[in-house]
Amino acid sequence: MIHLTAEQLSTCLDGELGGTSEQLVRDHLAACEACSVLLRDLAGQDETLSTTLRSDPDDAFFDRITRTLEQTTRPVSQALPPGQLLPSQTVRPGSGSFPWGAALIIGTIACSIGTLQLGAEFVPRWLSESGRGERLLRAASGDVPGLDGGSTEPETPSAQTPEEAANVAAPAANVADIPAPAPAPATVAAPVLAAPAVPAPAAPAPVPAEQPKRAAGPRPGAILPWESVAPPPRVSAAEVLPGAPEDSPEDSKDAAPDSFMLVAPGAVGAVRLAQQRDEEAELHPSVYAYEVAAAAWERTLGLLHGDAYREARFRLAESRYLAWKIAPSGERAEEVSATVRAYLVSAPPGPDRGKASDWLLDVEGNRFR
Amino acid sequence: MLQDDASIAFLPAGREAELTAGAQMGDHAAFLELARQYVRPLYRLLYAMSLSEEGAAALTQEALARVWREMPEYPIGRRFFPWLLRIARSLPPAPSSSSAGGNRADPLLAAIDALRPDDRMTLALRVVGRLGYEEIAALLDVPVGVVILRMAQARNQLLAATAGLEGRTP
Repeated sequence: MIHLTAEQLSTCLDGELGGTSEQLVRDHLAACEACSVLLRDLAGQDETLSTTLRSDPDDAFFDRITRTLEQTTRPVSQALPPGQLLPSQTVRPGSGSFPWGAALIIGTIACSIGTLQLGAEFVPRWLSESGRGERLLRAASGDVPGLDGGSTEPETPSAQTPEEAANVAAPAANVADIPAPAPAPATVAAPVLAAPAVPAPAAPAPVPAEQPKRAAGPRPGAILPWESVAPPPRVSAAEVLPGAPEDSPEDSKDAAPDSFMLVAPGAVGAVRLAQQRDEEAELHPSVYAYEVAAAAWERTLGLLHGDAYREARFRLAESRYLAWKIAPSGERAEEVSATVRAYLVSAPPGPDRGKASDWLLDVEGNRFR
Repeated sequence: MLQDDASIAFLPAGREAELTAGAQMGDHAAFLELARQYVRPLYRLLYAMSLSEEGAAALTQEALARVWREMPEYPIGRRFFPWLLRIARSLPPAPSSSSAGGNRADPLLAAIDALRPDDRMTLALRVVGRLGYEEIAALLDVPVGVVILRMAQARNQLLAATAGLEGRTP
């Protein structure tokens, strides 16, 4: 007699046989004692397995897991004191379905219209500082130097009182809590599709008495598709890690934020998010914050090309390196090595390349020493 | 096609899509709701893979934390639990509670430890998760035929090891 196969018995036990197959198996089982015994043994084994493999802790057990998870994954923004949240952070929780992209575009258009109608004295600070407000006014009067080769004039921020700043509708209600960005160089503020701009001459820019860290970062909410997306100033390792070498002046010059100009519309959001994560990591340095920043930069890689791609790779490597610096581990060191090497493959000569090479030496030296 | 007493209660697809989209945008509350929904089935499966409460709990927590970090990479349009399970299975396995170097006194436990991880997970999804073959196939992203083979192989191997029987294989 031909016996049932293991698959037929197992499938029969699970009730997954259908139609004719099930009938044939049933007929065989009725006539074959050996297969019937085997099926009963399998059923008994399943009973044992269902208790052996099963663990049913009470609700408190799972509550502990989720509470710990909640604490360990809490975003950096939730650890900030009230009033110091970044605009993007204040609106994120519980608002996943809100069309922020549309709101951003509408808000910017509204500001642009208001600027054209009211004149220069009502240009919001975030527009005037970036040069966009002035350009909008010049565009309205037919004098738009940025469109025929980019402005070479140093631009200074327009004077504005804190009350006026508080009246700025976009980008967020607590905008006054955000450190005001320093005057951006003309190359950053070049309008859409402008020809490559000549770097602005070094004009003495007025510096506030209390300049917060990374104050020259981009203004969240001021980015539109196909507009410049200026990266925030680099994280200085010396700022967060005692003993780390200071950035040289050359590094600062190299950080001229023109790598993210003219990124594709689909990449703007990802780049903006990564920049915000960078800022959060700088405000509250932690392994988690840097890893979040690294993940955000990693996500931009598939969306960027050319200089922007290389810049994103650099930032990714930097974030991972700083995470490793805070909490060195073998796994993290391998990630840093791989990321830095990936950057160095296409990195042009310059200070960034030198920095990345130093990171690699640091990480691999520590690892193999 | 979920059985009535199934251990894994999946969220409705629409609600799950909302939560995953929110979590992907950094909505921590949305992520936590997903975590609360799937922490039990994930833990139970990981327990079946390790037979260690502490190990399974630690692995569950680590897997969910990893998911939060990797939410930007979440494949939009796919169900959440298979992705979560895939990430959990990619983590280093938790040490088994009573398996000092893989030596267990109970022959059934020793036989379970000797199962191939894929066979053991398939068996766990059926015996612990009480899922149908099609659901298991969808979760593990394999054809139903592979599920049938794995189930038969796992059961036969356990039976052979515990009862001293030579399992019949085709």
